[in-house]
Amino acid sequence: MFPRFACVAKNELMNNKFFLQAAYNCFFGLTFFVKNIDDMPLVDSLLKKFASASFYVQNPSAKQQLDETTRITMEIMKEELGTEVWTAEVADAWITLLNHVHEVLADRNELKSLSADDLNVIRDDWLIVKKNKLFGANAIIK
Amino acid sequence: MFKAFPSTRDLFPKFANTPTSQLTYDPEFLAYGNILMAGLDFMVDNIDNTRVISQALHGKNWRKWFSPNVSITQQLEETARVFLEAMDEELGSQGIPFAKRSRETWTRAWAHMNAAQAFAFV
Repeated sequence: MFPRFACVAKNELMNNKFFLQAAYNCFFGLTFFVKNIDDMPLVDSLLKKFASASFYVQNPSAKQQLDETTRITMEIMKEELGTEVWTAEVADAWITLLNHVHEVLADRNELKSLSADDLNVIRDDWLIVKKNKLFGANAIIK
Repeated sequence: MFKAFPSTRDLFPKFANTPTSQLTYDPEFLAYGNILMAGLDFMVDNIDNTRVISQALHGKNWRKWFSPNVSITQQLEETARVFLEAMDEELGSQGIPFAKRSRETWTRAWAHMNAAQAFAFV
């Protein structure tokens, strides 16, 4: 998913500008959600723009990856804040927010994996379409 | 793409003076159409493993394929739209309706393909 730092050793990531850029992007997103937590329609409208398959690996499903992201985020928050601040009440509030974020994302049709039937539809249509030798040229002109 | 983003035509300087109506009679232009089809063929073959698509495209010169005046993401989205329109016309011309089920599936397929391309190019 991150070809720019796919080959960078784990212990070198913190010095890699592309890795840091990805981290800042992630942090920016979370900051936006927290700042606008009292305006969920605004948060949802932004989230829908992030509902792209590019944010997920092929397997497991987007929903499973989102669930795992919640688990990791909660773990990091607990580590960062310490048990005195990270009370059960705080954890509940965070999980409510993250679950909402993930529900909006996972509901987006674009993220749903392609089933075997979907693949058949695609391949059948494609076989028909590519019989026309001008299809590619016509598509460029469009 | 020429109609959707006229600046795309600048990627093909050889055809700058060829009227659009004559392009499909130009063997060299048809060759570009075939290159596009080969690329799409590759993506369709690997639609269930888009990482292969990203890896194949990674490091390729995006300037050959995208107009510099419009964001790549926007051009990818527009390509998907144009492609669906072309599919609709092509299937329709063969008496096969582009059913709602097919359109939805292709829309999702393009989301996956574009995501793979975005990772390689953006």
